Amino acid sequence: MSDERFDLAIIGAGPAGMAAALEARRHRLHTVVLDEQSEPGGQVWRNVEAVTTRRPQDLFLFGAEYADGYPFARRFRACGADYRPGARVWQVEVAPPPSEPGPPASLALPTAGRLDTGPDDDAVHVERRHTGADRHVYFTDARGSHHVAARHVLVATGAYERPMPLPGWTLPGVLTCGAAQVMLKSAAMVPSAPVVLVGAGPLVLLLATQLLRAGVKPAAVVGTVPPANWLRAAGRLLPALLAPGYLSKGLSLIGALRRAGVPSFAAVTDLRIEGSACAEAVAFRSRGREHRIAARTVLLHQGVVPNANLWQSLGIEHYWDPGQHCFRPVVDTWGNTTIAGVLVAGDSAGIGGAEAALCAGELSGLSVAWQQRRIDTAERDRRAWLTRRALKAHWSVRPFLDRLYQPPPALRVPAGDDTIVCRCEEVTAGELRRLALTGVAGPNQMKAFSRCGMGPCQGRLCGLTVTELIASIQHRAPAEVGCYRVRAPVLPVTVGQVAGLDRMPGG
Amino acid sequence: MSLGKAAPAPAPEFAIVGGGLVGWSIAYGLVRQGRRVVVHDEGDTALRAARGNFGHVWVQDKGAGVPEYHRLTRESALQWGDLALGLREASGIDASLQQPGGLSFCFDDAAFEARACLMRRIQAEAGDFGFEFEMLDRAALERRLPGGPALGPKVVGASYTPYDGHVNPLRLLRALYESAIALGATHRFGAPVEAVDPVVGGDGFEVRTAWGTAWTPQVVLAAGLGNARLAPMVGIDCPVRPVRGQVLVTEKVQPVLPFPTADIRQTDEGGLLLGSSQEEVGLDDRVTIGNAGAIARRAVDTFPFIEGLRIVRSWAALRVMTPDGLPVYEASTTHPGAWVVSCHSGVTLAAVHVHGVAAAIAGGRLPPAYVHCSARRFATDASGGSAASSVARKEAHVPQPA
Amino acid sequence: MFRSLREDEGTDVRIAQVTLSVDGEACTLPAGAPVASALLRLGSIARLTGLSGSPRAPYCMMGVCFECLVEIDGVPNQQACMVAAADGMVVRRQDGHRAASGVSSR
Repeated sequence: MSDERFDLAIIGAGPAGMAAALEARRHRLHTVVLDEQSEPGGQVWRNVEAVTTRRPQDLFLFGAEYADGYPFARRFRACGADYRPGARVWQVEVAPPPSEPGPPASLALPTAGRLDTGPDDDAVHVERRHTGADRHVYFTDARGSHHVAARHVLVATGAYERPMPLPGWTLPGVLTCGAAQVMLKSAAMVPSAPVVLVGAGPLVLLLATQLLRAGVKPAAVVGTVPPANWLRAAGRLLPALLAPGYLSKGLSLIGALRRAGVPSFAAVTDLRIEGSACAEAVAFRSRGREHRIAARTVLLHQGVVPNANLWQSLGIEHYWDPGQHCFRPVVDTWGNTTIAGVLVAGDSAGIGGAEAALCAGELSGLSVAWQQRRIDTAERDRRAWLTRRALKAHWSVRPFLDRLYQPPPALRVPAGDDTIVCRCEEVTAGELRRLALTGVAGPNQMKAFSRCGMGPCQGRLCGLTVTELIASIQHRAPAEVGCYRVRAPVLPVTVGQVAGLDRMPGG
Repeated sequence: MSLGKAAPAPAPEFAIVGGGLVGWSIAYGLVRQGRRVVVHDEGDTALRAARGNFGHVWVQDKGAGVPEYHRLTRESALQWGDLALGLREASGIDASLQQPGGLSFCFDDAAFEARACLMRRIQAEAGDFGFEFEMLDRAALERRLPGGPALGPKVVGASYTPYDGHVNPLRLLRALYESAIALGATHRFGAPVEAVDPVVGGDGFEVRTAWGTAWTPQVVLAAGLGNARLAPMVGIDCPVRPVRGQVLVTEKVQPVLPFPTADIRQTDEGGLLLGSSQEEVGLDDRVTIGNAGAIARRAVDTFPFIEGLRIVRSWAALRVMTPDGLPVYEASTTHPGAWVVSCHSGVTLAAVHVHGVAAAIAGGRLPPAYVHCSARRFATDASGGSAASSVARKEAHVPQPA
Repeated sequence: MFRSLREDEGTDVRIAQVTLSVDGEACTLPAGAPVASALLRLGSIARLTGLSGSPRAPYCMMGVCFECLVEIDGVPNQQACMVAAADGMVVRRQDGHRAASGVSSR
């Protein structure tokens, strides 16, 4: 077992984590980057080194943004950070001595008017340097379990796709759109026909065109955006036009699908996946008519949500973002949280996309360099100025996208009683609804009473549904209902691996 | 949230402060007696021992030096079958009671001998009430677990008593809750009780929360650690303190453990629960690597196969501990109508709470059998406390919250 | 459910291939591909749930959902999407809860 000590430990080697590492190394911080994949890149640039070097003929499938990941990953590899692929972090321990000061007073909850924006120029700075105790990071790789200590920890764990609890969503053959992208990037495989894409969001369009390029024509793209979303989003169109490239790219994807003659349906309702042993068809209503489209593979997507379990396990203060329909950590413009020495950057702090994550990671790296006195305040702010402007520009498209692609209520909280909400423990919406009606006080009591959220995924695929279900039944705000209390280990680790860690510092 | 019947419901006779196992046990016991109760429950993020406990119905090492407490625990274990049956009838929920007896492992000869001494002492103190136990050496233990898991090399032996068992504590909480609601209890949640103010003239109490004040003729304080703050408001000293315990849960496996042990048991759902740490860290209920490591090592020392199982969840919770480890059942003499119930064994003692304690509260007085649980033992005087507490403090082992 | 991008072009020599078995059925994959991609290629499920016995297969492919738990080289409950395929790997579907010993009950 290792017992190493670093200035900064970064968890996740996606855009935010890599950008933070590059910035930290610029200021000679002794930096370790722990990532569960075998290559840097995160989900958006997944496998980009292998594809670029060993399957360059496939690069055209993914587009220019993906190809950009390769030079970035090379720079990251050369930056001098201690990069550990295949490392799965299961616990970060912050054991402050009683004298440690509490959260800085300037870290107030964002005001309601700013909830759906990203970090911005006017937000507060944390004028406080964390010089306190080490933070401890525990992880597992192919060789066993390990520990590193670091003065600062940056959580850059990205996002995953928002669960889409539909009738039939547990059937074999139903995957996420992201899963299909992973198959394309990591295994050079495509779904066999007939394949149907269901949902809403930029990834649906992107994947559909990638599949077309790969020679797979989807049997249908089944859209779930309710007409009212267009009205709500329209008011946010103007700032979105200022964001670099997002909307034109979206329009060109839509155009490509039209030209290829992919059948598409919009504003569908009563969505369900049919099949006994595996997915056989997607059924829905559109424009007053019932449809049933045969499918061997069904790919779901309704946006992404922060991969929050690790920062949640630290007890970092969080808030419900009604625009993004998820919980986000309270952070300042640099990513500092209410736990001293712990930062969150990129999509795990709120969905802003890869470009915004690059900026956020860089700002977090700067803040750590400043807190550890590698740069003074003037240099920090000078270096941050352009990055912060770029970050703001990338966030300006979000209010539009968040409103347009907000999943309809029926796809966040299943209307039918038989639909499974907790895939691990097979708990249905009906069971949860019945308990919510008796007055179960919140997600944690719900978990205790129903086992919902107690399986190995630890509530990642049911947590938001449970919060919104209780809120809707009891006429409460999701913010007040709250969320599961997440506890380490956030990934399964063997008893033997934990047994070997008894004499660690901080234990 | 219970909507009740169409006719306006008569005012509750009892306000119960605390929606954990103790509070709902008393509530269920009272509504079974036809009494009208309202349960004030802090809500989802309360420091809730009831969601953190191990699930033991555990007798074997309780009450050395205080035979009355040993007897109370035994009685509750004996009544547990009736409790489980009643809950199943009222709510349809099976608390999964199993009472095959329990094992407490020893890892060296000295510990084995000390354990034997403790068992002999409890037996001697039990007198006519009797106490059966067996000290099983390694060979006898292996015979007791035929085809079961191999023992770790350090295992010397174990004590066994036939009274011990385990339940699904979360289903117990839900069963108590749903049974009480089904029999008419009202549930108010979302705000902690800030104060219980006796009305001048002895005319009941005002229960104060952030949302307002509710009058009640009688009040039962079952607020766990909150009792330390609330009980003095009705003239009772209840100096409970938090003792943190951490538990690890493994992935589900096919049935492998026929008996619960003092710190390992297999739940009816298949996962193994591994305990039990004890720490005095105030109101900090975070999990730590240090505790997880110690718990994991002891579990692997007991049954080596556990090494390869994955931990899927872990939690820590705060036991509600009195200075001597005994429960508190007390009626206020200065403010009649106020009652205090506190203990760290909300599962084991649930049967006594539902049947005996709730009946006593409904009847207006606590029977002499509970006198050793009186809060008067905490009254500080020149001699430094009562005889009962000084004896009980020598208890060799503070058990899991169970 | 899935097929290789270049099924008809034959194997690309630049990419090393590995062969593993899933319940006795051989599957060849590009080196580094996750074990779960073999399940998807063969159209195989990963497991039957311990509660209702319903079939589950890979869903998220990124370590989040824990649906693709399989036995790999005798070790049960491995996330097939998080383990890279290697030559000679023996993958087995799981039927209900694992055995305590780690040895498959089937």
